[in-house]
Amino acid sequence: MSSYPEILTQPDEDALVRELAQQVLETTAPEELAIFDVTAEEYFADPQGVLDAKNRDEAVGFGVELALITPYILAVAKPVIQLLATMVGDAVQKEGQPSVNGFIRRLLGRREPGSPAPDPLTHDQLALVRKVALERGQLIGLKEDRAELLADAIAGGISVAPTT
Amino acid sequence: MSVPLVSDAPPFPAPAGVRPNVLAMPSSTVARFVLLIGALLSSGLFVGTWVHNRTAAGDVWLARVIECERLRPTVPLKASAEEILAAQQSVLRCSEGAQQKLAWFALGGVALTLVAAGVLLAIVPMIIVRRRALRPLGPQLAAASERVAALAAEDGLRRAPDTMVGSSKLRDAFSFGLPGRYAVALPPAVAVRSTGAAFDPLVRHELAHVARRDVLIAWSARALWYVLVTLLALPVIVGLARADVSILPSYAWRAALFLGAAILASAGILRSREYDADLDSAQTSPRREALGTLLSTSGRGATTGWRRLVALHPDPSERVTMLENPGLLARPSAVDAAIAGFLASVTLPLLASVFATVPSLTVWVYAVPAVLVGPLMGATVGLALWRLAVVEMATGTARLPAAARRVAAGIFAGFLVGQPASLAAVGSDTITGTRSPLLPLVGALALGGTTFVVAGLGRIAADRSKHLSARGYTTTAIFLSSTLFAFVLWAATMLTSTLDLGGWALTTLTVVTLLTQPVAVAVVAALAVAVLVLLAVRPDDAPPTWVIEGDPPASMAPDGRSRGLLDATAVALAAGIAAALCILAFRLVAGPATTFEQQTQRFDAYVWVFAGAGLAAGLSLIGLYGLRGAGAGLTAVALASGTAALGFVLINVAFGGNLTLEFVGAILGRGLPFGLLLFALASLLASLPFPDARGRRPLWLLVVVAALLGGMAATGAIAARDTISPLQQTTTEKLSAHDYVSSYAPTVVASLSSLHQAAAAIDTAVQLSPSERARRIRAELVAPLNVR
Repeated sequence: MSSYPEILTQPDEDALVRELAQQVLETTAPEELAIFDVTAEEYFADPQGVLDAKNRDEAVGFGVELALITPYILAVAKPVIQLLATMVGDAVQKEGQPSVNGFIRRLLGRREPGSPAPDPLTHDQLALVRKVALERGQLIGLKEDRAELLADAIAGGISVAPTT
Repeated sequence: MSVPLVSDAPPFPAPAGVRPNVLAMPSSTVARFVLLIGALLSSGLFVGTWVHNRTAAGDVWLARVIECERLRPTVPLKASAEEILAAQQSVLRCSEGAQQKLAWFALGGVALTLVAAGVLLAIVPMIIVRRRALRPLGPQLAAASERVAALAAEDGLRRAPDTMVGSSKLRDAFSFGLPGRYAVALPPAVAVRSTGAAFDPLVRHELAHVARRDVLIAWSARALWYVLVTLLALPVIVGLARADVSILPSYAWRAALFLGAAILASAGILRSREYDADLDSAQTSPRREALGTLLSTSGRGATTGWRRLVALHPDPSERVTMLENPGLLARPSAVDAAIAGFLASVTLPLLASVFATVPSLTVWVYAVPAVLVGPLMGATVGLALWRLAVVEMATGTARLPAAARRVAAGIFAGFLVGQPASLAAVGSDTITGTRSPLLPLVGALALGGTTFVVAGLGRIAADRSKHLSARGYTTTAIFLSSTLFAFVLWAATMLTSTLDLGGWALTTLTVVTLLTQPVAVAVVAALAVAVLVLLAVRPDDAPPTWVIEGDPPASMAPDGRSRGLLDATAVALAAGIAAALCILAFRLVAGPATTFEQQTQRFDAYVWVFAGAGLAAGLSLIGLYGLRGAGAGLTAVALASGTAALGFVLINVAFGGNLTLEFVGAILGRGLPFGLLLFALASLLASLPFPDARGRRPLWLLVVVAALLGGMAATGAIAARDTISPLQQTTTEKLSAHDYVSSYAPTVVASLSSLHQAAAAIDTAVQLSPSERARRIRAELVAPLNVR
């Protein structure tokens, strides 16, 4: 799958991933928003290290691991943004949209006031987004039920994203 | 005596819903930790000695020792023992300065280890903050900080620890820092949810660690271990660098085994502390429920295989089980016991080597290490078994005999392996460090047997715990167990060393002289009196209130089944009187001793008779009352031995001997130490499935069994008198019994001390070649023994 790097730069992609993740967090784990920026920075600096943090069995620790959901959402959001970029890439060129970045932002409900509403994704496209999110969630080790929940939250955020 | 001495009550069936308070007594993990620290520090002695031997100081030492040997006064072929010993003393005096320097180097190794570990401990918090990217909570997470402070105040901490939050990679909370500046590091997932279900149980658990000083325990053990890995690697690195690997075959495996055991010990201690922290932090039902739910839903799988042994945390499922059934926490494990035995075993000879090095300190070579290590064994093994005994009063279970077997097996195995594995044995000609590979069995068996005695004492004390506070019960447990272990360690290590260096001849001499020293007699007598006092307290079926969480149910009131039945005094008197009658019979049949040698032989044999009477009384109690018998046997040994000795005094007077207070005082306790050592060894029989004081035994049966065993022991000792104390050349000189104890025995004791001094000096001179060592043994040990 191509992420259309020529039209979606890495900073743009990261920014979109953050936006999608924040949007999902607002409904799934709003308490984590308090440290979202720090968490996202740590994730982008070492994604695998954050996701696969080893159990250190700390001396005088509690002995039970409790992880933030944010890094997992960021990890799942990344291929979703890349998929969306692929999906909208052609439309952007055909319809003369200013950028893939802006198009996806509007799909996520971040539309600037006064700008035209984007065409919503088709049901098939949404299903594909959910499928990619689910597969990615499973790949990074989320339990089945949590991966399902996360995929639903992401797909739901895109399809019913409120305008701001 | 009307007061029942031993309760025969079977375990009281506990009503449903009774929850034992296992934290009412301090956990034995603190003593295990001190034992670990002691063992780690003692290996610094080896490092210091190694540095000494590898530097110019070692060359100077060797030159001095050789020079002193060269200056050894010439001893004529038919010299007396005194002349040989005087020559040896001259050599020891000559080398005193060099030996003192060697000892200072050894102690310097300990100091270096301590300082390095202290420095590491001090900088560890900074390293942790940096490596784990910890940061203060900040205004965004102020709620978490405030909640931690509130929980700390609620749990009675004088000062709330600092609270920090880690990076996204931190998933488990932990505590660190130094006393007065502790900190709790929270994973961000917890810090952002200060009102979540996980926050309170998790933070309370960490606060319990802080309050119980687990932080210091964990990190100091780790710091010491890191330092010792470095220090103990030095001989290997230097050896390889200088292409001199002569030390490696005997050193590398010992160092590796020791460091491995230290890891296991540390992990075992920390796992135990986790259980304690769970219970301490969840003392109410709602808290237990919250913690149990958190642990149950953690999703962490079970640890298996070797990882289980080195894991710092038990599996969550085990923790939940322990929360629900805290009585299980009181069960000591064989692995923990084995590691404790191992650590004690590797430490003892290292400590002894310091005192053996300096001639003027060799008199302490067995006593000081035993006094240092014995209490740790007592507080480790004794406290664990006594805690189980009293907890079982509340739970109505009867696992103490099985636990005692498990712990004794662990102690035996650990102590057995530890002796050859000690760094003190590096450089010796044999793997075990002794000439006979069987000798390490002596100490291991004695400690294994002592474990049963301690468990029996715990059972007896638990029967009477209703009359004791938790502190009183704990203090009694530590005092009795520590003293007993210290005594057995002292006696067993001395006899092992004696057997190793001087064979049977030196050992039999030691039994009737060094082992009968007034201090040893006083210690055994004090133990016997303390146990007698304990036995005199009326047993009670009901558990003490302090071992039950909340109010004890009404149904746990005494039901009158504590009949109590055994009078240990009857057994002791029967065994002692039977032994004395055997002496009388022998005297009547054999007539008076006509030579000094015969008198000596009889006195020596009678010491064995006194000890045998004690052994007989103790064995009778074990056979009839199982574990409780092993505990009560401690008193019976002393009473029976004293009774037999008193009988001998009366017989001596009846046949015209003088009766003086000094004589009586010297004779009465003479068989106590050896009797107790034999009893400790024989207490291994308590591992057999004897009934544990269930059902009353008829008094006549007790008396008959004890008298029979006492008579057999006495007859055996008298019959074996030629083996115990072979007759030497006949002289016309005659001594009275009074002369024996006032002049002859002290002289022999002094001579024997010199022999032990020589033995210790030879033992620690690892630089000597085998042939040189053999020559010194012949000259300094065998020769004096032969001319005696």
